[in-house]
Amino acid sequence: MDLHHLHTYIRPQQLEDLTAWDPGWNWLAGGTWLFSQPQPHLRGLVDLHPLGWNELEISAEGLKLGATCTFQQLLQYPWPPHWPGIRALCEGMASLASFKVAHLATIGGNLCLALSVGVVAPVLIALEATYTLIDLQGSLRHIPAQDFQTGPQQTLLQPGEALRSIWIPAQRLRGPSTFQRLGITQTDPALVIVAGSRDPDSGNYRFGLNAALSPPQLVQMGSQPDPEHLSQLLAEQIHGWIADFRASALYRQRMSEVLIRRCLDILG
Amino acid sequence: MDPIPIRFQVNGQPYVQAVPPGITLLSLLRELGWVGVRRACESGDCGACTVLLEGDPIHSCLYPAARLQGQAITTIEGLAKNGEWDAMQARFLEGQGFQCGFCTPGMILSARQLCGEGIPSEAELRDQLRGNLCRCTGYQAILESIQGIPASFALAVRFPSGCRRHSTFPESELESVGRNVPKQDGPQIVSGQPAYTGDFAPAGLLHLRLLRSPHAHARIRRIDTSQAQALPGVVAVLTHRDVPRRAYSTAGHAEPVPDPLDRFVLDEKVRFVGDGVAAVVAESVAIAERACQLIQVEYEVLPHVLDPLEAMQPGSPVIHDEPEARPMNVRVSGTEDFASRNLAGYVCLQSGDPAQGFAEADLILENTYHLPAVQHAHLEPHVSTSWLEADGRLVVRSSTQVPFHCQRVLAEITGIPRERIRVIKGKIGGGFGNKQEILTEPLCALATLKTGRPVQWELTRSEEFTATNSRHAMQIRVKTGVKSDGSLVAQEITAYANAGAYGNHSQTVVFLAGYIPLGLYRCPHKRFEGFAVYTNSMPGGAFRGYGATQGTFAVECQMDEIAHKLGLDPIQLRLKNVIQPGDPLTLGYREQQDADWKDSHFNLIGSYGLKDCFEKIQTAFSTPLPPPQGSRRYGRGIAISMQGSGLSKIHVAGVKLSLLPSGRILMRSGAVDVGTGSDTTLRQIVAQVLGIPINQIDLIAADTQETPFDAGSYASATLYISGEASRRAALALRDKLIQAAALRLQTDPDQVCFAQGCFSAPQGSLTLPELAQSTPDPIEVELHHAADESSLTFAVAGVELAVDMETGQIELLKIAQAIDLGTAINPRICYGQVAGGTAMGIGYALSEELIRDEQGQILNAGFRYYRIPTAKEVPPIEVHLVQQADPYGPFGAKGVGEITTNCIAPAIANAVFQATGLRLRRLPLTPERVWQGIQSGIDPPQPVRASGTER
Repeated sequence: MDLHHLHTYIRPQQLEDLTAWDPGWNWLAGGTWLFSQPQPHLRGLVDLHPLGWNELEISAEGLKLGATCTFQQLLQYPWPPHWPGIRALCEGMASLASFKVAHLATIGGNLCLALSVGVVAPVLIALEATYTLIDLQGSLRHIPAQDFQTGPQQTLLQPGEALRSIWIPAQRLRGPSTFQRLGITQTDPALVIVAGSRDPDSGNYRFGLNAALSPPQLVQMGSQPDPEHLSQLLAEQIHGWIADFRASALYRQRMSEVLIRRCLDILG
Repeated sequence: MDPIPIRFQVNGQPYVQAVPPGITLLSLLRELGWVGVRRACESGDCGACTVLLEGDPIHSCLYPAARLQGQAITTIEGLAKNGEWDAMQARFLEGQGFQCGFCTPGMILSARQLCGEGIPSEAELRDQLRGNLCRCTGYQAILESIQGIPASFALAVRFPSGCRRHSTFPESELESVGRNVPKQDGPQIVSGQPAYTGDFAPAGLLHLRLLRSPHAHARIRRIDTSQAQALPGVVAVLTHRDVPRRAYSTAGHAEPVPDPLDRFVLDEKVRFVGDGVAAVVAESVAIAERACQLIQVEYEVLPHVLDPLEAMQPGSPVIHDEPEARPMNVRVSGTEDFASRNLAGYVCLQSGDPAQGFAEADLILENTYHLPAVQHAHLEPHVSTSWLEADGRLVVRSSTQVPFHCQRVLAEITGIPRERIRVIKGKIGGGFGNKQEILTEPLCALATLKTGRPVQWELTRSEEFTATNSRHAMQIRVKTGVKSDGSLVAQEITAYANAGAYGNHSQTVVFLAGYIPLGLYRCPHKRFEGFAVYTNSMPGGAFRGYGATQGTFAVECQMDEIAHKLGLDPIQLRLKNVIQPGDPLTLGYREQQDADWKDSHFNLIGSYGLKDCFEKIQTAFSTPLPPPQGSRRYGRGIAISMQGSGLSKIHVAGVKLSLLPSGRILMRSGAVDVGTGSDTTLRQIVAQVLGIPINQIDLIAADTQETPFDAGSYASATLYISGEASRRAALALRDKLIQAAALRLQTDPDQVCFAQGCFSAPQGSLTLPELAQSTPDPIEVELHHAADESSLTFAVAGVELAVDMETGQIELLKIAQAIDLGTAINPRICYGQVAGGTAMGIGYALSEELIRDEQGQILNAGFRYYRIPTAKEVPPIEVHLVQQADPYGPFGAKGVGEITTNCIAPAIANAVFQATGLRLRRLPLTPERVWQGIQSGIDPPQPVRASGTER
């Protein structure tokens, strides 16, 4: 929708072009969420697109993704067959939006919005990813995926700081992964999201949970737990189940358990 | 604000210009005149604004125009090349993959991309098309168009069909009725031509935006508009002090209106969150929006009430205390006045003696059902454009189902004589009842009268969800007594409807909630009591099914429950009790004791194909039910329903037919095609009677200046009543033509044979153009018709589904619906009505609900959290058109617009029972509600013998 309050639109050719940052500004990645609802507090947009942060680099150690890689780019990439770990990421992106949004929506945009219904964050938590942040001076810092988001629509990003890239270690990419969601319908923003990954060597599991809670959280287990153990584990480790007009906290908690069990069945 | 210089191409045409930083590609394209790009949700959820950006389809409402750096954009207007349709446009024409057409450009552009490398599987198509919402078709005709249409629906006439100038016509085009004549607006729809109200912008157009109340109930103490007035570009600001204080109803009904006159264009009191406070008229939407935020309002917040049962209690806030309003003048025995009980309407119907009936019963069941407020979600929002003609006449073009009622209401509000007001219906992008409400026109017209300039007011999607109307939320208690053989002995319904802040349609909607389901079954003792109660929420209004949908859910769920308790087959139980030909519908007919029911009945049974409908549905589900798999349990359910065809005696339709000098026929009809295709079917009727091809008939429709009166498109009336008016007018014209031809041929009229557009007699022959050119006076006919009878249409639906017992999710596997519709004038169009109504029923059953917080604020005012079904959530729909000609409708046709929604939710709830053993009595059946039922292990209530009742 038209954002009538915007006064400024900047297209920096390089980061150094930006000498100052206004608190009413926001980075513009795909724009597919920003332009989907009123943004009365926003005065300016700084377009990341010209910076060309959409590199995709595969190495023996892992995968580096520039923050503005689009969903489409990742969904269509011919991934190495020995990387089943990428599957959860693709399933998650495919579940979120129609192919017409996938052309524009970016992986970094989805992370930085930090919506509880975000699909990328739980996958990257399960895949033990690390994020690289960059500020206007060009200094970098590295943050584990599970620490990046601090609350609903809140992250560690400081004003003017941007997500630059994502690193996923090859160890996780070599293991199986899966993405499970549950909503009121098959296509609405999820009520519960669980992304799971199994380490191909140690066999330990990492689960990224989102939608049922915020911020997204990591659940780890060394082996397949029995159902009571799983319930107990969640009760002990996870707090802040979301209750809103769409579903209760109890339902979200129980469905997270169900989806973790379904992930375990798939991950083996 | 610094405008951003951009350059780009649209359909090969280069543009260089500067745009505001926040404008979207959607708005830019529409401003440039590429109106095939549709504004429908503006949140990226519906896909109506899809365009190709460098060949890739995107939602243009999400794309900042400032980003354009020379890219090439293709819109629907750019697809056809050298007069040839694009392959996907041709497919949609061939398959008639559209109804109102508002979603079609986006659908075609998206499908085109998906089929770039061959046609994907149906499952893949349904998944990928979830970013394109359609509210009309149930997606079935869309998928069939993409995949290739089934042979049974091959079109009777193919596009392009061009205007033929033969003296006689191909035989194949002479039969119109009963054939799949393509919608005559198809080429316009698939090419995205300007047609809808918002597609036209008169020079000097101003835009209106409304400041709306943040409070559910408040008095406006003070409004300061000075800052808003001072904003450059603001032309006028209107508050309640600036508009006439005349009470009216937004309901578009014929006089005498059955609605309370309880609304003012703007009032000093606001009665729901979203009620109007002040309007800004400005040079642009952006300025109008900014100015709204500069209006200072001091409210005296009043206590509010959202629940209808609470609102009826003594001491509740009184919502309508204004002396000018005309309340409903209906008596409620033994109660105080209407205002203090917040009653917007009250209905009490009785036949027989229910107490006696219950005393005879072997089993009595009493259950309460809860139906949510849901929204129509037509993709085209409400929109009006008003202007003054040079001679001072007021013209309003609007997306309205009721142009003539709108003209009357505008005359009442403005004090301008009716004949000085012209209302033109634009092409409608879906209405479903919400455009049987006069919402945007009055303020728009008043803004034009104040400024002297053209004004347009288009609602946002959020306003559609919060400030128009909903289906009435209802709480319905049904108590039924049966003998152990299943025969009904007493049935009693009590309904409490949430009328919301205004009483439009409430009395009549509540009436149908009891009248329809109680009328459906033979039962000696019946009683209905219905209350429509004012609350501080968005008003309930007209919505396809109109109360029958709510009442049908309650009774059809309970009938299923009775069958299970008595160990009877649910179909047999219904067959045992359902009304039969010859049965009078006495309940609900007024002054029953004083008159012969045949003279003043409301509905009657004309044709009766209900038993065939049952057979079709039984056959559709004749395979064994799948056994449980993992956590999945399977179930099937059915439900039946009926609905009238129009309103007898009071729904008037006028048609004028003239022979043009070219020999073509000009049809002027006040009837409103709300997107269904009635502009095509009405012409089919005329073509059939005259024995000429449909393409020989030009149509001017629904314009108060250019066409005769028609009550409008509601109550499943268009085909049944306007269609009969068309048939009668065509018969009369045919006689006149033959007489004129006889005169010219110097013979007796009975010597003249009129066929294939040619008059022949032993003396010679004459073609239509020859007759037209040789007749000094125009040959024309104008007549008005009101039906004496309103025939009942019946429907049976069956559903097969799976319930995941771990999560409560319901997956629909198959739906079949059989409609007893008399004659299908155009089977393809009827099929579209059934598939579309079925999908709407799916949304009602599973996901749709307007959710309010305690302050009365609607929390899901957009397509992202208010979920109408996508292609992925709709299973294959099996449609059966059961055709037995009705004695009253044109060519035996009955109404089909509304009934198609009624059966779906109860059939689903009954299937959930079979799968899980749970009786769920609150819609929608969200996964959590189903899961809660499973968790709490609700046992189905045990049957109680005549000694007592259960709750």
